Amino acid sequence: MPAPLSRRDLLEKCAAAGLLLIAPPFKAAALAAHFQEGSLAPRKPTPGNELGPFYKKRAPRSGKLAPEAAPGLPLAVSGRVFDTRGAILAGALVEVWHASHAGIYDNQGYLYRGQLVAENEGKFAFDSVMPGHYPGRVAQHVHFKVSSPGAKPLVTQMYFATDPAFDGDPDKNFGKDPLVHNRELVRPVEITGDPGAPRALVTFELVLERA
Amino acid sequence: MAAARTIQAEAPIADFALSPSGSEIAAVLKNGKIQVWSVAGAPLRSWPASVPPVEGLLYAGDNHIVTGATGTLTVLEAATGARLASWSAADVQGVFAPASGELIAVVLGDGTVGLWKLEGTAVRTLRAPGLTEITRVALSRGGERIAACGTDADVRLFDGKTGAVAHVVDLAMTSFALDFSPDGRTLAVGSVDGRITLWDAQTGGAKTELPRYPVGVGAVAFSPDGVRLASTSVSINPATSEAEARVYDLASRKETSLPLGVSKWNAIGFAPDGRPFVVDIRAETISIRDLTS
Repeated sequence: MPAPLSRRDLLEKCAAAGLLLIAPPFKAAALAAHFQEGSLAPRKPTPGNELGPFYKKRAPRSGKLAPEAAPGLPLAVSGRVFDTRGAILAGALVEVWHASHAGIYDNQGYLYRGQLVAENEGKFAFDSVMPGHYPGRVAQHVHFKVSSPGAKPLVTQMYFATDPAFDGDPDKNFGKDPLVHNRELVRPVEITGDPGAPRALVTFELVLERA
Repeated sequence: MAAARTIQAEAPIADFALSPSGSEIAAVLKNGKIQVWSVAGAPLRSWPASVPPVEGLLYAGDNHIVTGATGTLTVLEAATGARLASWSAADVQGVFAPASGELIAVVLGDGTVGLWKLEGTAVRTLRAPGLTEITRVALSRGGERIAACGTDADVRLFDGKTGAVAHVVDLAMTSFALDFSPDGRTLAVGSVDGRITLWDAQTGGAKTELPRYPVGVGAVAFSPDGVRLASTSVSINPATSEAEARVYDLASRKETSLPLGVSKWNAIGFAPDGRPFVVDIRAETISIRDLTS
């Protein structure tokens, strides 16, 4: 295993590669992650989707979105934040919100809402419950608003391949919700845990276009 | 005790509007016809469906009705239905007008707001960084101040003369309910989180907050003398929630409330005699109730 690169080495290598000019807000720790993973791989931007009327500013900085013993299937969502060049966007602000199991948004308070800060490897994660079907929308969904210096803000929504609205065939049926513009936003769902206490796991990669 | 009357339209209602003086209600029906009633509930006028079919309408002052069809905006004389002007406009998301009615604001899908004179002459285009998904636009009388709210929960206050953003009002959640006071100095904002806040339209500073609704605000309207603010809530989230209409006296801080039951589509206004009234729409039925204040 190679020895970790020193901060000075990193800065020199990055300057030589033009990284510091291209992405000045990068932190040294994030750069280390790049080098330890090898070269940057370009990525397609995550498709955008409407912000919708229930965005609420100043949600708590917490990865626990649901209250204790909230009804609904426990849900864990994780992912990483990149730009389209493949650079990790450590420190990116990931705002998430969704309806309760009953399909109701908490507009008076901050249940099922949270702000997350991507860690050094661009990782984010939150725990909640599977959102219900909000009246007027066909598909269950989680809203994301992601911002990072040097990148264009990303506003999108994540959907679930297990959603009954897709009739078991999201490839064919994702358009049943007219707001689901792109199949890529429908994510596979892994069910884990005991049969008596299942839990849904979903990963969602967020790729922001460069500013 | 609220006096009530009910209007049965010929077909389900596609869109409706109140005249600024509070004397009339106009509706475009799903059969394409436009019907106009007095606020007392009497039928006044009716115009046949046109091609392309009208999808939405609003009053621009009491003398004009602006209709929107796919790709076309048309200005009608409110008294006769005579077509005064018509022009092409693509990707229109909404149209708004000040009570004085000398111009209209046309919201486009790209987040810009086009200001047009009623004869179809473009005045200027308003745009602001980050402004997309516009939920509501309000114009002060004369168009000196224009407020536009996006789903990002910022209200941009534009200088109507220059088109520049003068101030940004920082809300917690977006608003579908904006109205300027008759003197143009105050902007009332009703938000999805149930808050009603008043802002200084010149400085963008917060002035006061009214009692909060337990559900989202559907409409706000100043009385013609500017001393009362009427508002409604809507049964949107949750869909079974009880809505209300309220009238708040800004001087005495006295509030009058009228329960509406489940109400998903409503509006509020002041009749020419100063009485506030609320309009609730369900399919082809228009219910009008007066509020005592």
